Amino acid sequence: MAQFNLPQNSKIEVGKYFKDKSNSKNLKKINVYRWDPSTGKNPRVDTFEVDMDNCGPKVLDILFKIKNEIDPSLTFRRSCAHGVCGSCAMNIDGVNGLACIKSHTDISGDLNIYPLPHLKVVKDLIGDLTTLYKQYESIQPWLKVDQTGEEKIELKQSQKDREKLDGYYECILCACCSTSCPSYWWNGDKYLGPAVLLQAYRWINDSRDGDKKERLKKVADELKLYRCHTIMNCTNSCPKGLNPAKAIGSIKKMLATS
Amino acid sequence: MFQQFITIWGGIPTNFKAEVLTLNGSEKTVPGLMAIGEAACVSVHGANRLGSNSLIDLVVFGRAAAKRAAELIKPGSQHEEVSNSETDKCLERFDKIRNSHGSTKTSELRLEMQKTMQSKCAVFRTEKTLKEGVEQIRKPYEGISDISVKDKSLLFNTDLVETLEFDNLISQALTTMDSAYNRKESRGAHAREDFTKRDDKNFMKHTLAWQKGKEVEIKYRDVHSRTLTNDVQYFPPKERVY
Repeated sequence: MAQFNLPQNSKIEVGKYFKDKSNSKNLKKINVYRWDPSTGKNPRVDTFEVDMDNCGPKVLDILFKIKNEIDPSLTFRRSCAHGVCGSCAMNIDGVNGLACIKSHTDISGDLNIYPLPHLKVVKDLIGDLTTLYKQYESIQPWLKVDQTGEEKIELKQSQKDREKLDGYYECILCACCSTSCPSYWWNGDKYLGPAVLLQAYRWINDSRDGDKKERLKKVADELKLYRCHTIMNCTNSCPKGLNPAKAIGSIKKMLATS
Repeated sequence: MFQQFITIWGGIPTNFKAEVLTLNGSEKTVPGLMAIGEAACVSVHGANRLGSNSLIDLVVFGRAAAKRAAELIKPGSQHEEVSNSETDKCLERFDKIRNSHGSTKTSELRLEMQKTMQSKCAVFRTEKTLKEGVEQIRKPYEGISDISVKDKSLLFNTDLVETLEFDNLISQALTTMDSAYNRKESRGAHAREDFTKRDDKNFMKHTLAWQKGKEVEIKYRDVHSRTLTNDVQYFPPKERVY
């Protein structure tokens, strides 16, 4: 049987233990993945005892509490704090989600917080999304209309056509879905992944867009599209309740019937 | 809760072409320096700038700034040489903050600043709260000398960024508090419970502030009371009624 060895520096070590200093009776142990490339050391998992009697309701509140009161060097992305920017996407208790809308009371026992799976880690909880953004650019996520005439006219859309975008335009590109997909883990450089394919479908499905055929042709690729094996992790993990698997299915159906 | 900052009133004084103005009543500009949007004060919003008021800064003055810049700069011209003493100042500040080894966390000072601003310089203000505020806000300012930055790395260092942000914010807080304390009237978003009326006789003017250490020097600049065209006349401010 073939044996695979992990590279030396990918082994996660036991990190520091930060004991509670507030004498709280209501403690929760938070295990957080830490890695700072500038130290040259292996990644580690630090454990923080956090006083839950004085902590806000969301996982992001825990991270703020750790950063503000225990260890200011803890690094994570965050911005809007109410689920519209997608910055704080991370792996919380084994499931990808947004720390700002995930209630920690839903999670009993110790809480494990890791960066999104299978991304290159930049630092601590921050994953490198460069590839995903390049792939997003490749589907040309803007309205393409052929208006060569002198006068540019307003592009009207019926309510019914507009409704066709529901469930797709809400995507915030947090990457929870793509980084939960085993196909994307394996072929992330070539397979576009659920987030980008959902976005591709959003433009294919826009009644105002004049480039539908070209768009379909561009994604009709064994690797770009058909690496989706309907595993459905994407739909399970979407913090906005969207269904990328359905979007991918719709693209496949369009290609099969056109 | 995670506190968020929405908007600030006021900003760097500019003319309608987004060129930064100097203090005196003349419309003398600072060559090469422009400001637009939230950073600027073109003197069109009065003493309140809410919601879609920001669109005028975005759409009108964004365009005006671009046009003016195109007028002022010749294509292909070189950037003026920046003297080392200027760049050294920036790097010195960066290094000083990055290598802070004090015993106070940035988050502690930031919280103190937030609490002071929230309780002493909130929506409704009085002589008493503002006077206390003027004194109290200097405490977190002086706290900077004992600040600590734990993360020394140069990659995605949010600890350092938050400390640099605090350094900026505390200066804003000082000038906001002192400006509010000195404005003994109610105008726009500045609502004082002890001076409920607008006082055009004494305060129909912009506050200008110079922060030098923990001292803030307050001066004033006249507001524009004329339009640039004869097509529309000047609208004098009226009492706000509901």
